[in-house]
Amino acid sequence: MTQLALVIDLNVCVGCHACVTSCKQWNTSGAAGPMFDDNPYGADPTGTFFNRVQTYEVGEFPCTETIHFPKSCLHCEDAPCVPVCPTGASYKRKEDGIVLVNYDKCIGCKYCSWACPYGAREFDEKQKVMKKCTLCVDRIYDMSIPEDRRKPACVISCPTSARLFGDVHDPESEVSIAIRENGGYPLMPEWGTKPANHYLPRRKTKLRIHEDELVRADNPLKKEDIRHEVSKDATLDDWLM
Amino acid sequence: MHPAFSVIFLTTLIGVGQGLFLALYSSQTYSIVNVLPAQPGSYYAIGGAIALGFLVAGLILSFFHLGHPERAWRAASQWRTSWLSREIIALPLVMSLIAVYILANWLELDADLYGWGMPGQVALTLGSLGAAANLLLFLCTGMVYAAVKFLQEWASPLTVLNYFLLGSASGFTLAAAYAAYQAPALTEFYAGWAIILTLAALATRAASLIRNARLKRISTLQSAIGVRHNKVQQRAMGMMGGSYNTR
Amino acid sequence: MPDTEHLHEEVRTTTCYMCACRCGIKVHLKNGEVRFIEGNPDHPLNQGVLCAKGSSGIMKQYSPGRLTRPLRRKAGADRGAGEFEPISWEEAFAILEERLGRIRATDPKKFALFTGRDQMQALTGLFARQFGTPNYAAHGGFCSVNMAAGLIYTIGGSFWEFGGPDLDRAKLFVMIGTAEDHHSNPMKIALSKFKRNGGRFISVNPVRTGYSAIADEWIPIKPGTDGALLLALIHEILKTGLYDRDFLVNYSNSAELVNMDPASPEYGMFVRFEVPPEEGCFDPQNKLWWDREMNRPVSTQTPGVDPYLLGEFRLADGTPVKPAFQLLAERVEQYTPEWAAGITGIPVETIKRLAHEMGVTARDQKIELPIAWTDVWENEHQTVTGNPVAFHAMRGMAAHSNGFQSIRALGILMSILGTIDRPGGFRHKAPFPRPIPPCAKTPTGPEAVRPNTPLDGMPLGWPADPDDLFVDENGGPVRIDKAFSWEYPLSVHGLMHNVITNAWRGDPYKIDTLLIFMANMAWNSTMNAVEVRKMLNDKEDDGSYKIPFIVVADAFQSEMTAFADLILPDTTYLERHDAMSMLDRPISEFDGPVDSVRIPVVPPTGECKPFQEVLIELGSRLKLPAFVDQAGQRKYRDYPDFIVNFETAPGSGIGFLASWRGQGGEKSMKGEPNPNQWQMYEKNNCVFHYHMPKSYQYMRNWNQGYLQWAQAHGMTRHAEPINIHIYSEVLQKFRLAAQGKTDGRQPPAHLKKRIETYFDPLPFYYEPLEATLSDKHKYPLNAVTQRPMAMYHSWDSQNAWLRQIHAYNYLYVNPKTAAAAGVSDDDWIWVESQWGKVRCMARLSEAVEPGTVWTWNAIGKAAGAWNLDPKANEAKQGFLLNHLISEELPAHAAGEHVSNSDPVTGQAAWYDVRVRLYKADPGEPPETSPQFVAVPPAPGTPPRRTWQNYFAGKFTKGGTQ
Ligand code: SF4
Ligand code: SF4
Ligand code: SF4
Repeated sequence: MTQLALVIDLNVCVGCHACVTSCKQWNTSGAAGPMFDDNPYGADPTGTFFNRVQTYEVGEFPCTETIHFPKSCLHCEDAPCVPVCPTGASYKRKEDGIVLVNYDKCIGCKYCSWACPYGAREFDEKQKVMKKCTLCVDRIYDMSIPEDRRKPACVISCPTSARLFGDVHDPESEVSIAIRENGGYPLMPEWGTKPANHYLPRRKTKLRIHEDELVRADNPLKKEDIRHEVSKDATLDDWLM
Repeated sequence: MHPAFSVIFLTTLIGVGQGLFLALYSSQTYSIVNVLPAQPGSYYAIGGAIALGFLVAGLILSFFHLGHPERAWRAASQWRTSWLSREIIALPLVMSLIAVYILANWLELDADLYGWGMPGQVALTLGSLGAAANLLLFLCTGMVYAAVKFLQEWASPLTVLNYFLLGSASGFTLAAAYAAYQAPALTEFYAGWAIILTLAALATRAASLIRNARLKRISTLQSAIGVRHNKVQQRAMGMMGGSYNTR
Repeated sequence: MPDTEHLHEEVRTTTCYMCACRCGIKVHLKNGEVRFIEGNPDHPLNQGVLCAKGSSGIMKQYSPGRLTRPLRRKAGADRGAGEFEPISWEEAFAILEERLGRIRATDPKKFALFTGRDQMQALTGLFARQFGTPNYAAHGGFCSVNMAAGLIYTIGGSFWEFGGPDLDRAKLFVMIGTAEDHHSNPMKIALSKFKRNGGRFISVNPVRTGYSAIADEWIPIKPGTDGALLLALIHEILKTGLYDRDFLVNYSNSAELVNMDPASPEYGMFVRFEVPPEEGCFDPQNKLWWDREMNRPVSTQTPGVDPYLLGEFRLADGTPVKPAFQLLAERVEQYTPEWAAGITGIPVETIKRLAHEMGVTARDQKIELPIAWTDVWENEHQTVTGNPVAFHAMRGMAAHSNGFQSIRALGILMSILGTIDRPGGFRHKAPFPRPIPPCAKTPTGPEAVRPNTPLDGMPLGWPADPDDLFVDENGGPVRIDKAFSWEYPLSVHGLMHNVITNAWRGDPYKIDTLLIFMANMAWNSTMNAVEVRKMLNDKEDDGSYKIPFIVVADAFQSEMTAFADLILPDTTYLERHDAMSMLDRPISEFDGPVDSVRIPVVPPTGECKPFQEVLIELGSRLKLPAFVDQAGQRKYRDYPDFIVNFETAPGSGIGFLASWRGQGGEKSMKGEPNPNQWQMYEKNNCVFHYHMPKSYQYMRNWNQGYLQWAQAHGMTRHAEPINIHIYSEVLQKFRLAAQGKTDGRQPPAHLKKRIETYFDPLPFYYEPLEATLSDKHKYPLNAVTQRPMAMYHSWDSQNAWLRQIHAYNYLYVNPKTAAAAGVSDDDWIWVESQWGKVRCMARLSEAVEPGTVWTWNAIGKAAGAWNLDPKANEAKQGFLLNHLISEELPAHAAGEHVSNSDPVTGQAAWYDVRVRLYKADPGEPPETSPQFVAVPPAPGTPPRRTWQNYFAGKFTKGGTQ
């Protein structure tokens, strides 16, 4: 059984919002669109977006970490938003695990958005139906798109390639390997929703220098060892080690 | 999560209607076994109609919170999994049973259904069915909220109990008022129960509040982003106008 | 559900211009309307990715902020009020032709052309020169000229367009003073690969956002003190012997002997043994080393000789001499980590460790590539080696009045680590490296400006000594911005930030017409915005304007357009032809030259006309020689025709575009014009990438093969070595002039001290000028800005999607600093400098150094500008820090109206400002201050939708007001 998902690498995400607007432009003119914008040029502009990048600060100065945190529907394997839907508009596809909303069935009761612990659902205030990330279902199977671009819009746009896409049930897929090898984790596992999307944590590279590495036989200062009668004290002499 | 005002209002209205019906039903039952003085069928019919009125009003209001009321009929389809769907089935069921109850009472229909040789068996039967459906509706309404695990404040049997008690308390109170006007003999009965139910409701509500106050958040900012540190602060939502669930 | 069929009706390739990176894009059109813009996977710059701005191009295209008709200020209306009437292009051209023709026939310098973040400087510069005015520059002076000049005067190249860190092979990457994503996609791609390959990334920055967020280590630093850190790093690396001695000996002037005789007019200059055979803009190889074996002077690069880097010697004639490196060592002796710690706020241990990490990584993780190459001294090398420590730095370092010398220190640090144009270090991008300094020169006196005659020289150039300055006989400036004068001798990008103030004051002279292209000089691109707006509207006693005529060409209704007398509506990038030319700000890659084009993918909106077409038209009407034939007839039909047929000199074979030249398009780099050049670019992804042979890709300052190839292809004039200037003779020449030791030009008396101080041939640290002229107790904090990743300066507030991400801005304050001022999260506060104050909202952040407050640049907008609702958050809650920054320093010894800039380069010192903050009174209105009177939408701007549902160019039932 296939479960398509995104794996988001917080180690390289710089919080550029490319995934946010790329998602918007693909989907507003696609099967999930149009995506409403309210007051686009006035006070308090707001709109329907399937993917947003939040910012967190961890720790206290000077040991602060700034974390950019892209978030969209996690396509939970045990999606609480699906069974609560009274109309069946909200459903999880058997063939690839994508959680979708059938706009024609949705009555806009918003019950699913209460049930989603991740706040991933987006109510379209104009169309009055619930919307959400579709994993660009209208891209990823479109044979007219070259194979290496047949991925969600956020994935192809991400400048740091922080977003991986694939089948998390296939142990040999790029996403499964990334999760396995880099400590990928799901969000709020405590709810038993089994989110299909995973996040890869920050990883740090450190350098350890041994004292002896600062004193070496080939130290170039040793080439500057001759004193000249005309010279005063060579200023770097006392630096020689 | 803040439920829309229409949602709160409609659940209250429906609760009052349900409670009123339960009050009528219980007084009628008592009167059948001669604990309370009997009333004419019209008393129960009019009372039932008032209850039905509340339910209809609630139903109409509930449309207001739907994005697409014209498709509301679809909402009955998912009764296997969705408490909302069940509620949506239970509500018309309750309403039709109340309607039948009203009709039977109005027409003073009766028959010795069970060979007990006493009057009121039809009303009692219909009333019992209605009461059962009402309890079911309370259960559904309560479970709509109680079943959302992640809304920890609600995810408790107390939610169901609260709905039942609050609805009943307000229904009995209304019944007391109705009786004061139509059947003063019953006022005390209703008022007595209203007080008991209100106290019980206050108790369970207080229990919920205490529970909520003591609630240990299962999720934290830490588990929300998967970073272990005792100081995690959100600095930006990503969109300054907020997203659908924050605005 | 909307119709989603035929989504891939048409895909057209062109080049993004939502910022200056210029990524390749594929624009998907549906029924001729834009449906989706994606990165072009076959483009070398962005390799298929696209940033948030690029992905919001649709909302720029259909923005209500767009100007669509030429407009003339209504008679009687004040400048700034935004009252306009539409006119025809013919009228607009007639006005310009008459006015500019008159100026050109009398005094061409009364026409000033200044441009913003455009990338058509090759064309705009050509136009200005042909017109005959010296008063031309682009935005570099207020952007990052220190970064360009500081490094180009040191290593012959610089960051971003000119070169960058080789993150493919680096092991340690240190980023200093870089706004959160400067530059954008190419750096993001490289950085993520670098991290994934296990590289170590250290960010030195007062603020931790953007790139710094993913650094392995964040080193917070006080703004304006980078120089102190870098000098301490050099100190530590010298002290521990962690420098690359071989590299310094062979490829820099470290071992070259400097005349130390204070009595000599040659004091502080390299000792030379003969007159150069050929004069040119290169370093003749006629200097001396001191041979360690023979213990005597020898000519540099004598084969087999190993010279001293340290020591003190005496020539046969008794002249005392020292190797340049000895002087550097003496200079940095005082700059101990302990000293720097007190200035930068970085712990001593961290500074030392940083130095050791750099030195040890450079020394012990050497890269050796099996690439044979030959140096200019004919030595054959079997391999290319590299020390994998890379740097990147930008405006955070540059926009200080001590930036030039700090950046010199950076160049020297990179050089002593042996990382210049080597794998894993810094690598050039064609046409760099260039000689130090590059050959282009301005005229040197006012006689170069003559009626009806092109300017005798370039409007911008690279002075090599005081005689290259563009000054009159009294040493006074010839340019309106005083560039290339003694006040800012190496102002290689001009000083756009002082143009309006100078023109308003009539100092050095009054001008007539100011043409501004794509620069928001009444708002975020000017310091002191409130006063500058008044100057733009200020009148003489007789009621005429102090700046008589202002023309603004822009695609959007910016704050600046409100002050125009004439507005020329430009197109968007999706509507025009463009050339990303190597004659301009290049987009080359490390492995070879790149240029690219834009091809219109949708027709122009309304009457919009590309600014290039405007220049071609004006050039033809004014009969500027480059635009007309012998008979005075128009030479180029339009801009595309100009691009194809223009050659830098008749028959030079070099034009704006380097490839598909020659009759059949078979030649690249050089070749006759090809009438089908555009089509060939279009067929080839709109980009040309020349891959040089591997042996030409490294050590280009000294790579014979490369230099000869570059010379043959017109990219450089001389195939001479470009040795690194550890010690800068250019600076010493200015200093000697200031000391009165030269025969040539000398600075006016009041500037002597200034030149002598700042033109130090060795890098040194000094406190930013404004700090020395401010009450630091009263104003204890530094205030800086950066632009967010999702916005390109003031350009994107009209973009419906991007403005949802940044609708207004906060001042970010460290919680400790806030607590001291009694300020909590989201409080309204006043930020005050000695120049002014701004009311804004505070947001506490642990990601900012306590001595610094910062905000996003250019999110705040004047009411009504960009055709936003006057109540838009940008106007009500957004603010500019510009109001706190003066374009001029307080009167001091160097003068009354000296620019708030680096004294060497004239780089705008944005980040020198010092502020304090305090809580606003609870009774004050909850909005930012200052507020500005709202401007109405300009005639012809599209309606401001109150809501929208965008669907492939159709706003389904989009509401309007
Ligand atoms: S596009 Fe990539 S780097 Fe940018 S915010 Fe999204 S995930 Fe992060
Ligand atoms: S993230 Fe929310 S909307 Fe998405 S599948 Fe899980 S519960 Fe449903
Ligand atoms: S970095 Fe972004 S805005 Fe800039 S050119 Fe590239 S895609 Fe366009």
